[in-house]
Amino acid sequence: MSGAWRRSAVAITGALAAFVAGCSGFDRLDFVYESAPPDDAIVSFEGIEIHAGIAVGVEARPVDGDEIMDEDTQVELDSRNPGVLGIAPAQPDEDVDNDDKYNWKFVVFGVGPGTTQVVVTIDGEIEAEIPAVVQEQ
Amino acid sequence: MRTYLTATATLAISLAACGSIKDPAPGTVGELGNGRFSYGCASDSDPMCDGGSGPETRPRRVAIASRFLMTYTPTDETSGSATVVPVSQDFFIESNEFGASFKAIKAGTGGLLARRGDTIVDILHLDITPVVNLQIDASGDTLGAVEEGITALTLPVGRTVRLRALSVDEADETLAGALSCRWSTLDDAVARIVTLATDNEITVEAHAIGVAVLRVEIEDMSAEVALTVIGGDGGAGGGGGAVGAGGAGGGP
Repeated sequence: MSGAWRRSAVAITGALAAFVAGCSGFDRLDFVYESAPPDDAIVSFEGIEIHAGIAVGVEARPVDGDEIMDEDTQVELDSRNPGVLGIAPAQPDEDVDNDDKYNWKFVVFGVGPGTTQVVVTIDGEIEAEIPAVVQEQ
Repeated sequence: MRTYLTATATLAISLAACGSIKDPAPGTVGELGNGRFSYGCASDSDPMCDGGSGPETRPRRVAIASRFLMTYTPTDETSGSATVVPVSQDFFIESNEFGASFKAIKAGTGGLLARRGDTIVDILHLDITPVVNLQIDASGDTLGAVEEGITALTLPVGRTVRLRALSVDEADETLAGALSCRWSTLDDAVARIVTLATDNEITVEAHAIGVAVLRVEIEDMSAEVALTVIGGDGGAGGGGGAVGAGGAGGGP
């Protein structure tokens, strides 16, 4: 590949990454377990694997570079197929004032075997889709 | 695994006969720590409510095809009540037959969610296990300690004994949940069941000298105790080893 082509490829890749990441500075979600899953459920920005019938509580922390974003960053997670994977807001901490701090706590649960995606919306803009697999027990 | 329609019909009839709902247990803290889940018995045939009281703790395992109640009390009661719903209807289905009861329908680990509107307040998981055997325990004034896993028993005329049928798993651990249950005997002249025959725990009165076979059917399994009634105060005794149970548990 020539230097010009290489520079063009890098520029296109960078532009694509910026598009994917959006304009908010959002890079990814760091998931922190709020409950111990009874089996080997995995909830991460790269993918979700969980068995049907299992639920796990998580906090989805939006990250820009290596920094957790401001507490008023709105994080929304929606399953494209709630018949396969359920995801719903969890009860926020008592000290959360919804005017100043957005609730980043969710419960992810396997409803039935199959695959789907979780749509990640940050401050009202769709930023990513997380692939999800729900396996039969 | 699906429960056969016949078993479901039998269960419904039996539960309707069994009647009372016990008070729920004090509860177990949910996995998110926002309150307590409380188990309750859907009918008298649930061994968790034997002895006339509700369970003190959450049962570890429930039997396939069994029914139970589950309620949730949030720590912060000012935030409003929460409704318990299953994570997946592959494992638990809801029934309003005895209030908000649940029926366990598939082996595995099934989650329950405490839900308030669109928000999930808490989580609880229960193990659902097939019944692999029935165990009959005997107790009463004429016996010393509780006799576990009996197949035969001797009792003087005029005395009573309490028999308790338990559904157990592979590890002989008692399973929670109300299953269809019916005690019977063809030898009423020798021994009579003097309490509710659809309760898993019954009282039997020795009426006349002879042998009476007492049979319990739980779902599609059965077990028997041979009760020998003797004259006078000849003492009483348990006997036998593990109860021979009938057919295997429900089909897939």
